[in-house]
Amino acid sequence: MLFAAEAEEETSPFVELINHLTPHQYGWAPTWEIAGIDLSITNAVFNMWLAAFLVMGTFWVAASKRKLVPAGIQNFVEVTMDFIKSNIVYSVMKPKDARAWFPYVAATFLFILFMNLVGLVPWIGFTATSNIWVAGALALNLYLMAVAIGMAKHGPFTFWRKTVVPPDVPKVLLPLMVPIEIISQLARPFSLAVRLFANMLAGHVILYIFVGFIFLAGSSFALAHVAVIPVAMVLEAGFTAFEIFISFIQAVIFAFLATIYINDALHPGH
Amino acid sequence: MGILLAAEEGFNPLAVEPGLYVWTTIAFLTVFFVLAKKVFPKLEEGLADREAKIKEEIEKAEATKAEAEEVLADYKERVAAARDESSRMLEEARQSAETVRKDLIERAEGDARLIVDKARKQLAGERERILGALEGQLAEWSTTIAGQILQKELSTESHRELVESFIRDIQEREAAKS
Repeated sequence: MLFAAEAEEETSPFVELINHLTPHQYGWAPTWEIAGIDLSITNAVFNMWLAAFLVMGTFWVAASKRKLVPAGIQNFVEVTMDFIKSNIVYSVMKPKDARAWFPYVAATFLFILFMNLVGLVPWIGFTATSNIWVAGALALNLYLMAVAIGMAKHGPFTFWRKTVVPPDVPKVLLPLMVPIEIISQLARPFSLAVRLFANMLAGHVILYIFVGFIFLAGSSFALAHVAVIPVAMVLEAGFTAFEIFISFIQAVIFAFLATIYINDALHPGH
Repeated sequence: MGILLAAEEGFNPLAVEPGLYVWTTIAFLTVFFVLAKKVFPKLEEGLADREAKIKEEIEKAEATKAEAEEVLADYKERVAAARDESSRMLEEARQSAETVRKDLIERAEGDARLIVDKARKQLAGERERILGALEGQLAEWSTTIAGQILQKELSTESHRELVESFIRDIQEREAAKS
């Protein structure tokens, strides 16, 4: 597809590669539009559903064929569950809350992790979490749910009073502190979404730039450009490994902050 | 430069894609409900089963260990009792053997004394008998010898008196010497 595009018109390889970061509808996919919203199957939709089925499939197989002494996929699944429990959920919440909220946090962590990793698989080439609407949906839904739970549990007035009025703060400082707390609350879903989206997008931009160097050299055959190829390949391999690490770290950060936000909603003012 | 060109040609990371919001929500809810309802309960059940099994095995191992320790303590106690018993029996046997030895020695000494006394008595009797016989023989021999020497015939009674007087004389002299 890349070479065909080059043959048709003299497009920079960087442009061609960067365009891969934009969701685009597959040629075979029908156009679906409901209430003015375009729901057509794009590479982003394909990526997220592939990740979703991989998560569900992996864990379903492990749960269905579980043995007393774990091995293979069951080992991976149990180690992952233990990691989420001990390092994320139970490290923030009380045991009773942690038991109740573990499935939500685990689903968030696994869904984001698998979307990040699927995007690194060659020929798939698009990471759904590098789109602000995907990351934003996860972050905003989480925040709205946390707020709804907090209001349902404590009542809207008490919840917001405890949330935006910090305890043990002198009354003189309240005019300053309350706006800060309100901004802090509003920034939560935004920062959560931007952190994930920007990290994944930046990683892929860097990867595509290195790949672009290789294609540029291939198209010009200039000695200076060809000499760049081995350097670009080494950097590409190194950054791909680094991106795998970033994929994991970003999933952990998102899940950890999700746990903190839910816990804050359950126990506002603490 | 490439990125700028891309931006010019339509690369916009903040492009409005509300469809992705809907798809993400649906996909996440699907993952969440499948994991929460169908997968995690089974995995948790498996973990609970394993925990229970391990707990049971540990309890069994602890019970077996306690039993083994009890058996060992009982064994040690029995060994100690057997050792005490054997020591006691050995001491008794030693004392019994000592008593038997002393008894046998005393009895042997008594028997020996009896045999010696009996032998002494027999010897004394024999001695008396031999001395009596010797006395008679000596008297005859003396008479014969004396008759021959003196060439004088003496009556048997006179001879006997003479010999007996001679013997008494000898005995007295011997007694005086001793």
